[in-house]
Amino acid sequence: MTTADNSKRHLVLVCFLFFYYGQFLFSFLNHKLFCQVDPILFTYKPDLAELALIVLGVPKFFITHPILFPCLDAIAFFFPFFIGGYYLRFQRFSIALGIPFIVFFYLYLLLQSLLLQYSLESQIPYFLLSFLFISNREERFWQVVSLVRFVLLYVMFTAAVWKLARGSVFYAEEMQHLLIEQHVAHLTASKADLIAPLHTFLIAHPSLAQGLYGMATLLEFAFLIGFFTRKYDRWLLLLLIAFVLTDHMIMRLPYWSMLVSGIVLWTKRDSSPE
Amino acid sequence: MHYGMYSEIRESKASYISYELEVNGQTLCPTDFRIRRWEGLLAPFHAFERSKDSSDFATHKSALRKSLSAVGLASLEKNMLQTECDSSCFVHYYKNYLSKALNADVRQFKVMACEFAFENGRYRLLHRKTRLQSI
Repeated sequence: MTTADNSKRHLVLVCFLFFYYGQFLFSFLNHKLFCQVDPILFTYKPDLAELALIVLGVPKFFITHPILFPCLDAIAFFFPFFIGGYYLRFQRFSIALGIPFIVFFYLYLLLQSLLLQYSLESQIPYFLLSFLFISNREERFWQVVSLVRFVLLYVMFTAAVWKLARGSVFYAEEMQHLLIEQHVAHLTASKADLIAPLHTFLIAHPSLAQGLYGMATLLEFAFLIGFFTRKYDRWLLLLLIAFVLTDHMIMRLPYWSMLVSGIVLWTKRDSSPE
Repeated sequence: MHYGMYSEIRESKASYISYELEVNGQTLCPTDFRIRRWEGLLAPFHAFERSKDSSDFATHKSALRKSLSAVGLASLEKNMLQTECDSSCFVHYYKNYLSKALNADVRQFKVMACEFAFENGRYRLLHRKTRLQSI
């Protein structure tokens, strides 16, 4: 790898690991690690990978052997240390560590969805970033970046397509009804929080709320351009940041894992065709 | 897996449900918690409710059963069953869970479903029903 490519690889890796451990910390603070919840039930979702795991008896096995939950969290916490240690020593990734990590990471995310009711959808581009742990060659690194970039564009663009195809973007009271339903717990709580007046204001002004919904759809639709050119990638990154922040503020949906995969919109190969 | 969340047309509803959590006689306020933490506190309860309301995911299970039989793997059906957990077993588990999650000695708890109507720009409580409580 060239020095420039190497530093880009390091940037992507640092972002991934920063988020990985950040998420771990917040899971701990929110009391959502496996060892803290000790789940006793698994739920069904129409997802083939999750259903396959159920049929193979994996969630049931963990529930009947709860001692394994702390092991699961410990492996998730320490595994990247071994990968990082190997990388620092040999300046390359160990495939023998990288592949098991990717498999384990996917299993961990699937079990989080099955046993802790996490939503898996927004985690997919983030999960794909872990393929960097087997990307020693320059070409492989850029293939992983391209794959994550493609999936990220797909996620954002198809979200707009769904809103257009189902017609919700043209339905004047869509956002108002969505906000009424989404914030019922917080807006009926005994104490209002700082953001509650904004939600109340938007509910009282449905056309303004729907304008925001339309803008969000347009923003998502803008990701279509990424399929044709990389020229506007950094603008798309700005849009992604705006989307995640406003989604958090207006819908109380913390899609931070989408944000970390946005690093692939920042990282550009020097010789890449525009 | 698709990304069509929040894209279905939402008509106004006659009522909206919110869940209240009462611990040792005190109602917890969702605004005192981070979003994920509040979700986390109620997540096991919601999982239990979903399992109960869907007769333990009967529709999913029946579709899976058909597929497994079709490919000659009917013996794997046993993996689809939850471990035996009735209401009293779950109440015991949830009480322990809340004690750990809230770092407090939870002696009693109650989860209530509050049904609100949204009229003239404000929520109006229609009724409050206890869904789960410690004995």
